[in-house]
Amino acid sequence: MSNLKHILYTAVHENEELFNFIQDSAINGFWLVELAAPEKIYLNPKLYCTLGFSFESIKSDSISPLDILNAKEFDKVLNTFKSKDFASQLKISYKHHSDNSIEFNCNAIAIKNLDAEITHVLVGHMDCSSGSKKILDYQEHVQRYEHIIEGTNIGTWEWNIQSGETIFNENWAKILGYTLEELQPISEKTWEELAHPEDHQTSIELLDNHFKGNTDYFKIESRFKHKNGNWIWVKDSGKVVSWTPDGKPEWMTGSHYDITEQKEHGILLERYQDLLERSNETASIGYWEVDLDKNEVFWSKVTKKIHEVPEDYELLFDEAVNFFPLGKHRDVILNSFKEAVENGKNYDIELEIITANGKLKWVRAIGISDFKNGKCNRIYGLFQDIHIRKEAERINRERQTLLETILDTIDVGIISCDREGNLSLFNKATIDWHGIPIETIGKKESTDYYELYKIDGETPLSIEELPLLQAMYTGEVTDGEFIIKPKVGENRRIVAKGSQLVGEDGNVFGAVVSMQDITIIKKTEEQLRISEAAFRGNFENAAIGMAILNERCDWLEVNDQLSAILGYSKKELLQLSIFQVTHKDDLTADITLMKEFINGEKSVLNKESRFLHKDGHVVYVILSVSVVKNDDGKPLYFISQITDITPRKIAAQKLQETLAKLEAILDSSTHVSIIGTDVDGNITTFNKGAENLLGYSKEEMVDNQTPALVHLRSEIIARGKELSKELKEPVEKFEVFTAMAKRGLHDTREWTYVRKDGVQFPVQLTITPVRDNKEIIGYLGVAAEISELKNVEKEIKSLLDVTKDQNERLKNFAHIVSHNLRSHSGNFAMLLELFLQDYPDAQENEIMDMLKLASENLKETIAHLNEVVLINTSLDENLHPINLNSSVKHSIKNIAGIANDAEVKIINNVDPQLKILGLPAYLDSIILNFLTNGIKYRSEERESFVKLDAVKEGNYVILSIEDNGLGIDLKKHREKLFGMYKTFHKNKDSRGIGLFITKNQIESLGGKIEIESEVDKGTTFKIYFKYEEN
Amino acid sequence: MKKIDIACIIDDDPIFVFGAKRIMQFADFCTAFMIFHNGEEALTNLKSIIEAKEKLPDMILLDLNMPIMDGWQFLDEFTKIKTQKKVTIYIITSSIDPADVTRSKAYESVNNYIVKPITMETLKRLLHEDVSQ
Repeated sequence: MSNLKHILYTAVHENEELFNFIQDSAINGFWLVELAAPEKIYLNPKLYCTLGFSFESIKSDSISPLDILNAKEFDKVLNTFKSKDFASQLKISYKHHSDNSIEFNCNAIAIKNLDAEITHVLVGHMDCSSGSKKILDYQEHVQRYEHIIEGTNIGTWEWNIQSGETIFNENWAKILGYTLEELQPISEKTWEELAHPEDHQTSIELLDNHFKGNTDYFKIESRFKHKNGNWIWVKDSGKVVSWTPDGKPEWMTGSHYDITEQKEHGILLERYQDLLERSNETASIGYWEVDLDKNEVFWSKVTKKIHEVPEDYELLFDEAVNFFPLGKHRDVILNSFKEAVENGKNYDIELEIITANGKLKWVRAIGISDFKNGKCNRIYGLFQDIHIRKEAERINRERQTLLETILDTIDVGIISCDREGNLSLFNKATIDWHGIPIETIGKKESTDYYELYKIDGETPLSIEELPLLQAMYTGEVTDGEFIIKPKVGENRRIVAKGSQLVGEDGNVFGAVVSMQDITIIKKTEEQLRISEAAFRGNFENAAIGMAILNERCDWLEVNDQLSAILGYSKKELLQLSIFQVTHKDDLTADITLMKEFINGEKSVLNKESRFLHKDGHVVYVILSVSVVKNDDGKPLYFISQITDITPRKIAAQKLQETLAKLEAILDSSTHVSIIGTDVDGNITTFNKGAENLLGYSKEEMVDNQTPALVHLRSEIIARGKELSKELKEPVEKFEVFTAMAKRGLHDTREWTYVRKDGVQFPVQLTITPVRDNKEIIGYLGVAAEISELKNVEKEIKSLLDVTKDQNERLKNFAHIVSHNLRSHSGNFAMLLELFLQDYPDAQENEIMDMLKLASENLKETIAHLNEVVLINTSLDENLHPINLNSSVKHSIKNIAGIANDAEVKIINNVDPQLKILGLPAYLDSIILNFLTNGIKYRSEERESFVKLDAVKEGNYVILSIEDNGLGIDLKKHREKLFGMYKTFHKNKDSRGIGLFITKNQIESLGGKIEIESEVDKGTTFKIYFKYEEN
Repeated sequence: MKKIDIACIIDDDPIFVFGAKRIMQFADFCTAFMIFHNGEEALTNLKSIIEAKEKLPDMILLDLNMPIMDGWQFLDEFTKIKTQKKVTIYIITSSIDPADVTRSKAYESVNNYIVKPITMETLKRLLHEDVSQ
């Protein structure tokens, strides 16, 4: 169709007539048709509009001419055009949108081509017939209403109350999000279903009211359910438009108007208002208004409350100013008010008011002036009770002051910087430490005053290592310790901590670093370390035992020495408590002492105690304990030192014992005088015994006298002479007593003491030196009275003398007797012999034989007696060493003859080296006796021998003489064996005295004799001789 | 058996003297006898013999226990006297006191210590010894 349009435009453009035609004729629209192709027809929108079509449908090209033109009509029209009789005026009927037929008076004009042929026809519509006009008008009205409804988005409803028939328009459905189509079938029910139950209920009631005629209109704002599930608000109003003949409402029409938004706004508004009111109240914001024309003041509820006046208070204009206290505040408000009124300068000030109750309050006063015609007629504004805020501000300021004061008083350096690294806070301590003047300085200048170094004191800190920057970029200070070396002032060792300052937005706006001067601490630490090291060294290496105990007396630490003292290993010792190693006798005392410590009654302990060594023996110690307390005064540790004084103690004990014994001796020896002197002879000790014996008192003698007082001068001199001779140097006076002692020689001898009363008595005096570490510091003379002894001695001596005498006499007697008897018996024998020589015949005489025998016997007896006598008087001292073998040999030689005759073999196995102690005569006699016995008592039945052996046994030499002779029945004769004149054999030579004498001889030599024998087998004699050590 | 010239017996016991003399005679011991009964007698006589330069006995048999002057005293005195002839003195005594024996050894001139009684054998032995000297 656009083609046609184009043609039309071109034509119009070319032909002014056409243009005019349209103007005049096409009031109500036109159409253009191409005669050649009548389907090509263009209708202008106006026509459609006039015919009641909606703009949309026109635009969408959804209508065709056939909608408005019936075909017949169209053809008729076309034909007129095609005919030669071109009618320029005609009447055409169209179909109105509402299906009514509208007739128009139309004009037509032909468009010719170059050939002057009619190609197209333009038909313009001027007016319509009256009937149609009416219809048009009506339609227009209807359209207008429809447009109104459309424009206002009103949903309409028609309801037949009696039948229930319900008619909704599209809008009604649209309001609820539906199409009308979707809601089909529509009925009362539809309304009910879609309506909010509550509102529906109210609606019914209102409808009822309306039906009764109480209201002109049914009006309700109710909710309906939108298709999407939400509730929407609808203004529902309607009216009954027709009644039934019997007066009942028939049709009711009404409208739905979507007021959701308004409603919601309304509700919101309500809420806001409520909120505003409430917040106003909470914020204590009160409204005020001053009408300058009427000179009236309005205060809101809250304003009144702020001013502490009752709600019904009516403020007068002049009074208002009284609520401001005289002075600064009143001046301010008056000034501000004036400015606002005169110059329109609005104010927003904080000042104090004085309430009706006389209370001062801080308020914020806002004043806005309202001008009309250049003059201020009204001022209004707000009052806000900012008392609390003001208070808070004051507190804040105070806090601020506090903070600042703290920062400047504390000994911790605080510095902070902003995000550019510029220093923003430098508290007093920091200033002092860095040696900078008290002005805030920038980063660059700071280095003029100080340098920062690492803890070695040499390496300066790099930029990255600066604590503040570190804190800012990393959130913490990693190298916490550094050294500040100010240009002026002393170096300080600092430990720093820092952190970022983070704003509410989460961004870093700076950093803060706190620094502590640990110079002193470090020094102290070092000192402590040294001290601790010293202590440790001392502790470990002490020559005495040391231990640290806790308040319960458990060992915490022990040193090696203590371990050595007590014999436990360090580990073992740590398991024990001090009480476990304490001697049970000291346990109670020690526990009491420890309690006193813990109570704080004692702070130092020093006592001797006994501990038990691991192996059980007692260790004497000196126990020193001191207590280390904590700040509350409670004991933290005990430090004890344990010195082993066992040797000392034992020595002391021994000394004590010795002293006690000495005392005892000194005092108990009442009969023994103990006189002690110094090196010069002055008496220093004089015991009870001395007092008793000598009759002097201690006081008289000590430090007053020398022992010379109690001696005989003559004796002293005599002894002196003796000693001089012996020692080959002059000895006299006190030296006499000390000479031997000094030389370490034994000096015990008899002296005479002289008692005080002059009586002399003998004593045995022993003098010994008293030494102290090898040096003689005095002498001790112990004298025992020996008068008794002396008497006894004398007695013994005299007895001895007597005995000796007796012995001598006896010996003499013996000798004399034996000698004389011998003489006579000898004579007798001799005479007998002579007689026999003279008278040989007499030999046969029996009596002669008897005489001879008698004489012999006599001789022999005397000889024996002699021997016996001799034995008993011999003395030990005459023994001298004799070679045994030689004696044996000698004796053997003596009896060699007899032995030969008897055919007895003598075997000598005696060791030629052996020597014995004895008397030669005796020895010879003994050996001889046994030899002769051995020969004498040989057995005839065998080859006889006598064997001699010697063996050393202990202190003796045992000479064994063995024969194989007749033997002796020891069972019978042992007792009598060595008796005098006891014989055991029938042998006529047995005299019975030999063994007796021999035994005596042996015994007198200090030996003994043993015998073993078996009858008819032999005899062994064992003779013990004293052994001579070469 | 060789004889000695003069044998002197100094003894206070007459029986012994008699007996000794007899035995000596029987044994043809000596030519002459000198008999003294105690030491003093002997000493006086022998002294005078010496002075008289007469023959001293060859052998003296001296007894110890004698009155007035016993054997020891005699010996003490006699040994002091220097004689030309060696006089063999034998102590013949009943005393077996070892002290006497020991004492006798102190005198050079004492040859032997003989315990009474004497027998023929004893005399023979004496002679032997005397001769061998």
